[in-house]
Amino acid sequence: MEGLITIQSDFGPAETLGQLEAEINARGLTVFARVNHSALAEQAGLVLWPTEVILFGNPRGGTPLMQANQTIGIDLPLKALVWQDVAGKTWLSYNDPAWLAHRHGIEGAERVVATLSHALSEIAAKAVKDAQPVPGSAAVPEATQKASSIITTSTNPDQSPKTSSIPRLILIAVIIIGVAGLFAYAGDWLTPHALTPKRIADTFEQVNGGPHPGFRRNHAKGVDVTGHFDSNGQGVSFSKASIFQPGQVPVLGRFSLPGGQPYTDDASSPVRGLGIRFQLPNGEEWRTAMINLPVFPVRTPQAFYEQLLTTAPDSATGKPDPAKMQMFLAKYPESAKAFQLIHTQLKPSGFESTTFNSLNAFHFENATGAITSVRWSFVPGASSGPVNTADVGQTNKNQLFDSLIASIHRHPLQWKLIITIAQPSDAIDDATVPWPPDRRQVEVGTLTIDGIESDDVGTARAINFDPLVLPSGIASSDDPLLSARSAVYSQSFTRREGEHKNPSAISPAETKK
Amino acid sequence: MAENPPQFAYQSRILHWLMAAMLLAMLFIGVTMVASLGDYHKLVAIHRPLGIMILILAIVRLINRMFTTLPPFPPTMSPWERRIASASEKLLYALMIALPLVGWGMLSAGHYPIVMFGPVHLPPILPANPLLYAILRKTHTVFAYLLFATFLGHLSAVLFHTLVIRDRLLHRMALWSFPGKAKRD
Repeated sequence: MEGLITIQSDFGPAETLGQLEAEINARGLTVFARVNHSALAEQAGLVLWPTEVILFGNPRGGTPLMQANQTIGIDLPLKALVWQDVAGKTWLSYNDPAWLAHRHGIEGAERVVATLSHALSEIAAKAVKDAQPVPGSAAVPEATQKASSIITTSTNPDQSPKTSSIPRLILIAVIIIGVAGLFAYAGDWLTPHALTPKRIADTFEQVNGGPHPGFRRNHAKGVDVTGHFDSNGQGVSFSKASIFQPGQVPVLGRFSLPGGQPYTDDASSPVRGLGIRFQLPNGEEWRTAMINLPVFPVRTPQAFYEQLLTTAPDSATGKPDPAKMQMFLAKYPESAKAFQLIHTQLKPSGFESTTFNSLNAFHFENATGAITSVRWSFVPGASSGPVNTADVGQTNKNQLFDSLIASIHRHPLQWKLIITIAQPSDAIDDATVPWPPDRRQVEVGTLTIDGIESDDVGTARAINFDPLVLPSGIASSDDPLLSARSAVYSQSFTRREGEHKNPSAISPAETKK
Repeated sequence: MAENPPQFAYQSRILHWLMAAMLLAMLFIGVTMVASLGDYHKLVAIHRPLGIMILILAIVRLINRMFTTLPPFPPTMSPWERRIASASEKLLYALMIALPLVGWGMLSAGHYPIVMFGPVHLPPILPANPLLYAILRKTHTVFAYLLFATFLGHLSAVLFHTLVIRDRLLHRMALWSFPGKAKRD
């Protein structure tokens, strides 16, 4: 505010006023009046933060000014305002004598004005000062003013507090950038080469010749099925999950081929996939995504990613480069072993006669809290009958699916759910290692599939067969692949859900044949 | 005579700091988990129930806000600062409530069971629909970034007032209320 000098007090309003009055009296000046605005406000039923003005002066100080111009009498005697703001700070404000002289056009009274200014700043400084005055400091009002925070002064713009604020501004910048940087680091923006779910999903798209909108990034070709699961009650001693209580629950599933190509030839791979969602009576769900391999070819997400890269078609031949695969197997001996086992055991088969394995281990917890590590398999039942796969792929790219459709239309297909109980020595967190064949196996129920629909119309298209959607009583093991599968499935799901999907290879008409 | 600036109501201050910790934890869990392979599952398992707890507390806080008188703005806040502060407060309340609801709705639309802990789960609040899921999933991310940006703005303003203007603004929200006269700085 123009012409108003305001300094902060180290004291509250009452103390500041007391000291101010004492200092005025000590200098032989007269206090003419004290007007307590806030007390008056309170009497009027209004609220005003502490605000009180003191009128003081001395005829020898003011008269020469009024002799120069009588109108300055409106601004005399001198005034000091003590006020407390809402933040609890107390301030002392007074009119700058130089500004008053200027206001009334008084010239040639510089010496009187300077004396007055000096006296006022000394009085003000003493009234607000907390510490014992340093000898000599009281005679340097400018220094005192600098030590206080000055809100407004037209005469001393250089005394803005900004100069001392720069280190604090830097501190604030460091805090804000630090928090934002931590956030960016947590989101892997600062480590672009880190292996993330996004990167694996991107790689699935790349090795399959770009994204196929609306389709799963892996196991793109498939067909939806429905049915039910009948529990025989044998699972109760291992898991408290309500699915193992004797009884029946509805099932939604999807048979699929591996890879991200939605129109691939059924003969392109001996690998078969089955995803299942069990809807438990209490509203819980159990989802599982299985394939027919005896073990999984990789142990870690990093190995999975590198193995996926080896399947990328070479630009020259259009086929995966075998040298890349050799390098991969040399780097990951556990994968070399796993592939050996897979190649000796995996034979092409129809979906109906395929055994699907959980591959990863899970923890079952029963009602007493006992934990059992298990793997499980869905083993085709006798009703499946022999399936002729000799002509797979020779005439019909959808041979396997057509065969499955025909079988289900003839009669329901069945698989037995067999859980394999781990021994303490078995690999729980390594899906590349088989468990010895003599491990205890328990048949806990039967899966019956009696309905089949195209991915274009079935519900399973909108289901993410996330292997970690589990009911209470089944939990993830420490196998690092499980969390990674959950993360990448979610990434794939999110991508395809927002995309327009082209018709599936297995059309609604085909599933009705 | 009161030497300290007036404070927010005690329960308001408790809610503020409790939710500040939860929201900040939630934002970091969220941004970490979507980029994580190994910890994804563990973080999601915390993210869901924590989000519902935030939703409940945000509603409690909104009701408390409606029935509590606020201390006046300090005189060190200019009119435009007051307008921005009021607008960002509304935005923060809206996001605190919208983010968990969008998350819940997103899982509903995506056919996911909304698992809290053990067998306890919540019912879906939206019909299962792929496009709806995709939109809500995107919205969840955008709202989360918006919440984080608003938080940074809020933090900057409070630090500026407390450290540069030195008006003891932070004291208005402090959990303690120390007696005695106000010390400079």
